Amino acid sequence: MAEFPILSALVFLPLIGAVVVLFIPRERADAVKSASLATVAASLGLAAMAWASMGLGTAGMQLEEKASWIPQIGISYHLGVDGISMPLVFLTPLVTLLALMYSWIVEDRVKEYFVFFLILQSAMTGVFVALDMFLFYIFWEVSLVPMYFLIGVWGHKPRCEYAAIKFFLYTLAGSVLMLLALIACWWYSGPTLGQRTFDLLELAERQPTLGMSAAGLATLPMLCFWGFFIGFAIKVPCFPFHTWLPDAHVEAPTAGSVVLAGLLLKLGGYAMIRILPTLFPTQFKEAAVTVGILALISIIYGSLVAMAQPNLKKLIAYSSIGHMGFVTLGIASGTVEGIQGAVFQMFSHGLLTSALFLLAGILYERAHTYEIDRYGGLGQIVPVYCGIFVFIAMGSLGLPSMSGFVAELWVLIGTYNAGTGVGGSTALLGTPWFAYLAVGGILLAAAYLLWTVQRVLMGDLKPDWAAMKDMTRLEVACLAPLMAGTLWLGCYPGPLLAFILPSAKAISQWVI
Amino acid sequence: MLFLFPELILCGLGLGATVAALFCRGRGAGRWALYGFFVCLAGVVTGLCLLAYAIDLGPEATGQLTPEFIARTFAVDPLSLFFSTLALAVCGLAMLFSMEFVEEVLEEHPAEFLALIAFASLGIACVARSRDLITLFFSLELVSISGYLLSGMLRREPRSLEAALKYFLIGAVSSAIMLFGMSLIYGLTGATDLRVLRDAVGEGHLHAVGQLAGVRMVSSQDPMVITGILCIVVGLGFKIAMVPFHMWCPDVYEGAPTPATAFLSVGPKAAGFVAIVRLLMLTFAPSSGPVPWAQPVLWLCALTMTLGNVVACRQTNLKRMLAYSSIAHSGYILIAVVSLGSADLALPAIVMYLIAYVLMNVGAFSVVIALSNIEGREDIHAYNGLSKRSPYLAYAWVIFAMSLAGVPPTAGFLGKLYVFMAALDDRVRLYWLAVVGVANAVISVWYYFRVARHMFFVEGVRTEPIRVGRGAGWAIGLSLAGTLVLVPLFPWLISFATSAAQVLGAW
Amino acid sequence: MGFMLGDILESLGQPVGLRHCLVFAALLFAVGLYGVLTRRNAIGILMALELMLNAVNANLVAFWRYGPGPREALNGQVFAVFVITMAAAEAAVGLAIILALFRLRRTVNADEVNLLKG
Repeated sequence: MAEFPILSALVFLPLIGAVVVLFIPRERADAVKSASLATVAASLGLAAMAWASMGLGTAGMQLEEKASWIPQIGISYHLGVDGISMPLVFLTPLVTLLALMYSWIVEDRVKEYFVFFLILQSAMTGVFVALDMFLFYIFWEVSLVPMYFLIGVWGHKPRCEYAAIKFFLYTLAGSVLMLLALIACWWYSGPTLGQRTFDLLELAERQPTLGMSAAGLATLPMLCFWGFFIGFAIKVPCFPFHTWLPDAHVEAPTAGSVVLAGLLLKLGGYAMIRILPTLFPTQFKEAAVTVGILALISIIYGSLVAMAQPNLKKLIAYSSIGHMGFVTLGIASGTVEGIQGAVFQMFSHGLLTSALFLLAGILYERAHTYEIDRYGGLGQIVPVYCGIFVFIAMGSLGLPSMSGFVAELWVLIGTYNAGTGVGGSTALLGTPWFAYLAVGGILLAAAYLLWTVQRVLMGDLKPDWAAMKDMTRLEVACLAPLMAGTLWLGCYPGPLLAFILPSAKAISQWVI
Repeated sequence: MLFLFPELILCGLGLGATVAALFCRGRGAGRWALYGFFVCLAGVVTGLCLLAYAIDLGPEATGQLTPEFIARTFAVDPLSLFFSTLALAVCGLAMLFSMEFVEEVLEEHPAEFLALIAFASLGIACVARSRDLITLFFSLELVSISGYLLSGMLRREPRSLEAALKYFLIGAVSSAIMLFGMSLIYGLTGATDLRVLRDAVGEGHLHAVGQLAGVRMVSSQDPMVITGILCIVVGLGFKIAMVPFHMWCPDVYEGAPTPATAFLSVGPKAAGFVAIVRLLMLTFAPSSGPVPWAQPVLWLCALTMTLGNVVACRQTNLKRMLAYSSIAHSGYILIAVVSLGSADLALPAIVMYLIAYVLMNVGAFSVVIALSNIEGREDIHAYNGLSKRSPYLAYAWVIFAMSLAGVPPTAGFLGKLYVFMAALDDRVRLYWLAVVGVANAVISVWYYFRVARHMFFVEGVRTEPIRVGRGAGWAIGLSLAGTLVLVPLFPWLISFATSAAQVLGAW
Repeated sequence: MGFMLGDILESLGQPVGLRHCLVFAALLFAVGLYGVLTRRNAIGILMALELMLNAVNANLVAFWRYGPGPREALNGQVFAVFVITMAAAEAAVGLAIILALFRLRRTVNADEVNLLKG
């Protein structure tokens, strides 16, 4: 175990960077940008170091930091990572770095823009590493405010104002429900004030739902489960709580969409894995079928609606709903493979959807429209862009040798096992139809992505775009790491899967 | 006498300002406000030290340090010491944020304005101290009468006078109703000492007079006791603007001069809640059997929150909006009041919420004051493009809005957390009320951030930078620091709030 | 119910005692409250308010007088004296406000004071 509090450093480095940036004069925009990028790059380095220092094959928490904070009501400053959170902790500075690199072109209110991103990064990392629910909740909520401003100030006028407040209210509504459920769990975690705890690991050990049942509150555990679930499902987003997402994504600035889709959605998926099976094993088993159905609807519905979208960014937004549906489905299956696949899918989707939003942003930068029908034949004049777009689209539709394929395969295996009881698992879902129907979702994804490629890049060149420039070096530099990551994880998924495995097993044991 | 230090300071400050009023005009008054602030600051620091000392000593030893004739009507427990220090802090902040106002806007009697603030704060402190019905009522009255005058300070401004008249009429009627209730309670028990009242109402030892008056059953469920208590609830409900006794609040807040509004939104409200703690939670709450006032207050609490927040969404005048928001906040605090079964959480929750409320409301109002000193209006469109004209004001508003809405990491979140903890207590089980509470928190985000929308997303007609006045700027800075620093200081705060509440349990 | 209307009416026929005082005070209070709610002239409201406060005083003094040991515990009387003082202070402040408003608007009619709405 490292002496250096590396997780605290990961959480607070961007915050310190934000404070430093605040003191740089407004006029020196380049200094602001460089300082912010340096901060994020440094935290990426730290994240890599943290990952490298972790032992393989350990299920429990590593690099733990624990300090007493508010002992009177059982709150401590407790951080730690395991196989489930570490990939996401690494993904956070990575995607933020690329988003900020792309944001070099921003000229309006540069300082505030970069400060908001740094605060956002700090909050998201905090959610992934926090092991105390109080701390977790603080980081969870703090992530809302910067995003509200990023959408509202730098988004596409005038609808971005509506999208910003919708995003804020929607996610806040979810998290306050979670807060109530959390307080209820805290209440039944011990007999007196000082003996209760907000610590996630201790809560899992003490199983407050048993306390609720013992107090004669038969429905409260289930209500708490749904309180947590709705809070997370809004973030993921899972049907029917998804309606904020298309608005927020379409109206946000490109880098905002990238972080929103690439990282913020992962908070929901991560929290589902971390909290639902461990705190509510019984309720999880009862609700698995319902959750699975919601996930399935997300997959099919997201893909179908994506297909009908005339707006490129909206299409990508709906595709995110479909892809995140696989995460929820994997979790609902409760199997080791399902959870492994869910984490893998989150990582892979973080790479792919970030790339897709960057590509959409690059196009918008040149043509100032997201209308798919106004494009056509771009492949003839912007070959590099065309190549990258096709590559990312292939990854996103789950082409073998790309990361999306591995992730979806694992989720499908898990779902099938949970449907049939193969592989020693309990048949939580009860029927293999979940897996069969999810395959249909993959087909739909292939359909809308290929159709988009065809409409945007193939065919006759529209005369409006004859003078379009191909991608700049900066833009290629932003996309290259994402492509490399996708390909590498697709061809060589073993190490990451093995890294996730022990922790996924530990989680799965709660419900199997 | 040592532990009456905050009251002595406030009294001296009020008298000092009254004398100063003979000499000073305009700019001089601003200087006096600054002096007043520093006196309060010194007082707050000393008060906190005394508080630590008092908690350390324990209630009995603290009581022995006070002369008997004072201790009979003035409590010297840590909780009351805390509330009087809070009153001192409110007074100091009010001196600061009204600095520009007394210098530039108020043409006549600038120092009287400061004197009234000091006297009203003295009233708040004395409410917290009272352990006798008479003292309690007249302390409340000190706060109210100063408040009527404060809201009518702009004598040439019809809206200000209208606010004063409405505040006066409604305040006086509510006082009369409360007095009637108190006279009944006095008649049935033959005492005005709150501790005697508690024993009488709590355990059914009503005085023989009660039987003379034709009361056959002597208990907290007796109709005459209930009538008395409900009259008091109505009177206190007016003071804290509980629905349906809230009608005066938006009009008074809108019409009164902005610094007076800022003071009225925290001062009298804090006094009202302290009185509620003393009277309802500690005196009229029998240890066995149903609490006579709990059921009506429970429903009014849900109504207060919801009405305050829903109507606030429709307001375009910021003072009016904050008036409805303050009604809603009364509702949140009432959750803790009706959760009084949660012995170790309800009182700390009120203490914590009041601290947070004072900080964030003073802060939000200081932003309004700073802008209205320059623009002369509080219309929401005056805030268009503020983030470019004065980032300090705009970002300060965002922090206060987060705190008012209960978004972490701010003081307001801690207050809400504690309130909901009390409501979800196994002995209370007010789950539906907690759900109403959080739903309201979400609604409130809409209107607090609607102002942020105007500040950040809308381009303003005027673009020249704003110079924030010294007093308002400092008041904002102090409340900002308080709002943010309370989270790291949370453990200290909890220890303090809990120990104060334990002391009261033995009161 | 402790109080029954019939009981009260019956006892009013007996020699003057606590009950008479209480009924009187309650009626006075009701008259005052009615006046506050229906008067449109601000001065009239102020006068009705004084009635309410005097009802309280009557209550306090009666309770004190008929309570045991009226010589030892003076609470009721002290309370009443304080209430009288407060009523004077309130009247002073109220009249000052009404006067200032009259100078500005030439009216003391509460219905015409209606700039603040919404």
